Amino acid sequence: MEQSKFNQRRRKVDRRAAFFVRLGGLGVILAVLFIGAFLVFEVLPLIKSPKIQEIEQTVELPVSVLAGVEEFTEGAWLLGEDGHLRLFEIDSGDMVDDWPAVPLQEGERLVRAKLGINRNWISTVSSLGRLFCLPLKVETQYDEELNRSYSLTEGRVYSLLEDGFAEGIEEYCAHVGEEGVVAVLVKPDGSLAKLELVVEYNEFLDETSESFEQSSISTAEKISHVAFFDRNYLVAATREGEVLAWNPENEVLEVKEIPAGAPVTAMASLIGRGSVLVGREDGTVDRLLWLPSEEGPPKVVLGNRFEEKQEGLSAFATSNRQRVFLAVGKEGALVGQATRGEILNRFDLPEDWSFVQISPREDKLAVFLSNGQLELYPFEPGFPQVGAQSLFQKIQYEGYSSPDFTWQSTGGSQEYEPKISLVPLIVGTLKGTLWALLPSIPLAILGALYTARFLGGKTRESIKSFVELLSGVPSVILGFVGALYLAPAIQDRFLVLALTPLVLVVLTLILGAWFAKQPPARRARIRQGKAFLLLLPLYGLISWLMLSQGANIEKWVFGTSMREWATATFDITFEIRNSVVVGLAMGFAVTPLIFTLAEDAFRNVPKHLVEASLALGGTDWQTARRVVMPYARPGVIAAVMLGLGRAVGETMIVLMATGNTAITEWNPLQGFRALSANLAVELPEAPHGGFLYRTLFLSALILFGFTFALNTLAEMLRARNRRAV
Amino acid sequence: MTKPQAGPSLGQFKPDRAGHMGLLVSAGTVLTVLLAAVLLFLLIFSRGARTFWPRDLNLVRHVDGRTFLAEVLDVREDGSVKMRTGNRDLDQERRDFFIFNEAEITLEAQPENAVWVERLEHGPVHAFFKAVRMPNAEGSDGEFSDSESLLVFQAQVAELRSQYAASQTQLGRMANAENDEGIRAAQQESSRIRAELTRYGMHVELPNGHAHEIDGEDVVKVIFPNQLGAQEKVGVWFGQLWSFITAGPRDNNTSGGVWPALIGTSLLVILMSVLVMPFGILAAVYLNEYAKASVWVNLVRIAVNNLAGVPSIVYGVFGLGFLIYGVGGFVDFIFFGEALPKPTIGTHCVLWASVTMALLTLPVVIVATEEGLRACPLPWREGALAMGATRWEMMRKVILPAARPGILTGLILAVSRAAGEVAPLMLTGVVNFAHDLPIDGTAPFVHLNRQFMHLGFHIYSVGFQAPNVEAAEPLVYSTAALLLLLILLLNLTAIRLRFRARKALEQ
Repeated sequence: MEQSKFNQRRRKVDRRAAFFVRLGGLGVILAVLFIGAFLVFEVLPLIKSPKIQEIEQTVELPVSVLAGVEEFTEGAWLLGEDGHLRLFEIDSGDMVDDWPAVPLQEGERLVRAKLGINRNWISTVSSLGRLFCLPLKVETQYDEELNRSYSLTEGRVYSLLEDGFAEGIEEYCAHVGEEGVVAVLVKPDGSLAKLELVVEYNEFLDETSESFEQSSISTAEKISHVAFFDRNYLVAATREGEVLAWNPENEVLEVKEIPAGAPVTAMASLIGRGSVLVGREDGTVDRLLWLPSEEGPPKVVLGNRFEEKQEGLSAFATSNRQRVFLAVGKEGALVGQATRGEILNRFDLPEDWSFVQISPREDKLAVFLSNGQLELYPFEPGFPQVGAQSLFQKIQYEGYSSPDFTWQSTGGSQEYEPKISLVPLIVGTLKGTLWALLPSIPLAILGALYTARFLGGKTRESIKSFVELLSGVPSVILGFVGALYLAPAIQDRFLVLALTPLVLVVLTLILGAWFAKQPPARRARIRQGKAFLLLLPLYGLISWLMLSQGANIEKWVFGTSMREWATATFDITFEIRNSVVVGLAMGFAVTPLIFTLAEDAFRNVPKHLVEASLALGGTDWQTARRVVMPYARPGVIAAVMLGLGRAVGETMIVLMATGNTAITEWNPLQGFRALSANLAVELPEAPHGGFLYRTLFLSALILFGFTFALNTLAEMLRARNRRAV
Repeated sequence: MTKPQAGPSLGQFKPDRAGHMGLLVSAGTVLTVLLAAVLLFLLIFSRGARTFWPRDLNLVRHVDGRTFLAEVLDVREDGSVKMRTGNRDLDQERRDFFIFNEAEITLEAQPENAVWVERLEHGPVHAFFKAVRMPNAEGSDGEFSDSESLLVFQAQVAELRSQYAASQTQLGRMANAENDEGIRAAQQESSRIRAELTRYGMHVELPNGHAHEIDGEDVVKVIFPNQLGAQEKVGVWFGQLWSFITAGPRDNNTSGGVWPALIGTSLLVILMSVLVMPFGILAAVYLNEYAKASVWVNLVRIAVNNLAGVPSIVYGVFGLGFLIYGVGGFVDFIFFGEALPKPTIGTHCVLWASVTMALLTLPVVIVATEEGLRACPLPWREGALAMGATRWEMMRKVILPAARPGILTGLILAVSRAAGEVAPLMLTGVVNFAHDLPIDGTAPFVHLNRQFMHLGFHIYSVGFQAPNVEAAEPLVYSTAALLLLLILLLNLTAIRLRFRARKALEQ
């Protein structure tokens, strides 16, 4: 009785243990596989296109000249015909503030107004032809319960023109900054007038002085629309749809490669003022850029012409955060991204809209109707900067002289155009890998062959252990040695270093030929397993020479170091921390790995094959070459692939031993930035969940996928090899 | 018609039929690998050890009239001489390393009274010793220039400094406890010690002839290198090595020791081992003993092997995205909601770094444990089962104990991997200078949510981000040597263990 109870308990324990082992084991394995799934999960949001949901809220508001919403989309500001800037609470429709901003005369009213790109000022034209610029600042206050309330902050209003000058103005552009106001007006006859109000601050007197200047921009064409680029370069479109440009001194700039199109119906600058959008009657959108050129004035070129068309295109709504825009037409709008040059989505709008605005936080779309009603639509921009074009294709960036692959994810300001091409990083990774494998593969495979086939038990074991020890050296140490020891050392003895392997091979061959000529009796005295000891003095001497005299030899040949000579003669860039340094440092990491695995493959060749070959009269070397090598080939290929995987993912060495500039160049004397090093540098700084964060996750996924595929292939090869044995 | 017999054509010509050349070339590759490895180890260990060696101070005159007391570091093949001159804060260009041409300088004698004074900041002073200023036995200030007083001076300064540190710790504790009286007492105590410290100073004459006084509280160590014999130098070497291991970094990590990095690395490795071992063994036992051989198990095994090849930085990315932002953020949201948006545990810290490292080393442990399990011969299992043991009893009493060498190998390899790996830590919690250690005397003693220092990252941050890389370089070599030594010892143990286990199996 007692016994059976005991046995029952034992069986119960056994069942439970089995359950836990299964659960734990499977759990661990699933958890590990989850890593890949998680990377995919973080990357997926990148492919969502911008979305606009069903209408969420409507409010009745007075009719205005210009209107918009504040940061939290809880208040709406309106500029009335009467020159008052008013603030309304959206939930209740109540007015909470009223600022008589523009001093109008009797009978005068505002007819047109424009919002600055950064939404901190408004320019407006009155019926009497006067131009005003007023600051727009909605202040948010919090009470004790953190409820928000809003008010307008009043500020200096600039009045630029006396009565009547700008009468009948339909189009204009203006820019307000600390240095004053610049405005260009399109007169009814199609000519241009330029106004500048320069504000200078005298810090000693703590005074500001203003000077006003008026000039005309001469053109024979009839202009219909104008917009400013950076530094107040002016772009204008004629009534025929042509594009013209001027610099701030009113000199004509060259406009290149812009095919003529339909008449222009809308024009707008994007944030950063590096691009101007041009919308045409037939619904096409062009993105214009200005290119700096090394000599001469900059040019204006066509960045992209967007494929899709918006019927009745008449206005743009731009974002104040990124280069996303809406091209708004009669009954709908296109959502586009300027850097990528792609239209990402289209949606419908009510027919009688008068202003459309993307809310400052990009979470809402505010549509003001002609009867004053405000409609709010939830808006999800997604990650429009990131797409196949911006990741893998050449892109014409603002301020760049030609389309290029560039990684430069963050810049000095919020208005920076992110450049997220993965091409330079992938090229960098491959370049580093290539230079690591170049010396490693022959060294590791031949070394493994010799160790496996010609060395006796004890020596072989100790060499294997030593190589295994070498493979344990942390990569941070290799990176540090590469950067602080190898890089400066290689700098003055580059050529000597490059020639040393060649010299060694030739000397070894000569030695081999001499050895073959020796009478068999003497040859027999040096056993094959000891051949490498024969070479020791030679190799020791050569490496000592290279280390101590390399720079002198190079100086003797070139008069200076090869680096300076090559830089002067061929105009080659020679960075101190270059790909060759990385290759050498990474060789220390990759060679032992390939060596160990290849040695296993050579050892696994069945004995009977080797013995058969020897019995048929093959020499040891013939057996190694013709029997062992072919037989072990899959295993050796697998070893190389695993080495490749290690080199691709290596982080610290490439981080430390190169300059980490992201360039798409194969020149081995220049550095590079690898995917892995880029992750280490940029991910800690990337805001959680943002486009950069997810793009970096994408590059991690690429690394993961690449090494996973490579390793699986290698594993399959090895498995087949093992089965064959 | 018969085909004419083909004679020996050029295509058939094999100059190396017997293979002597091929043999020698492949022997040469082994030699190259070994030589490269030996040179690497020699470089790191010799430079790492050289840091602590007291070097003679040479009186150096430059043709432009400058005079230095310099350690000659390197005489290069092109005739340039690299020297460390000390006195960084007193130099016009704030430099303490110079490279001169041999022609520009004359090396003069090694004066007996040349002194090398290590300070808390700005590196060492190289000068001529004059006297120390300190309170004498009666309590009034006086100046002394004999060597016994110098020893007393050093001992008293060190004592006062440690008293001062203790009073600061006390102050912090009182401030945490919001004990106003305690705060006032600790403040009084520490200002008393400060005042006492100002009575100590060291008068020296700089190589350019100016007199200079080093604040007593700045003096860490005083050595007269030119008076030392070889035996005394060895003593100094060990002393410096000891303080390198046991002291914290100073002066923007360009001097001092690596104690906090050593502690951080150890804590990381211990936490990682605690996490990885049970799961790794469980997974290996499952794969090898419980799962029936099938395509699925093969696939899983391939996957586990693959994970060993996934770049370490990818684990770091996972640790940041899933563990810190995902799991950590979730825990914060559930348990520490009132502290948000300031994260409590959802931040870079030693806990998540350890979990990331555990994931990274999991394949290593699984593979090694599996090897250990596979090595147990079938008769043992059959024997155990035939004696009536259940499967679990067989595992626990027979197989797992027999597989112990394999498991231990896995642990050691995992530890050595985790100690050397840096990239994933950069994303999950390592910092170049941690004000608070993750282990200290205040409850709960082990602070899992603190950032930490790490030997490997210390190499990167000091070698690449320190403001004065030249001054820090010797220390970087020493740190690298220390780390390398630890890892080589671990790996050597693992290799020996595995070798012995295999040998035992063969018998």
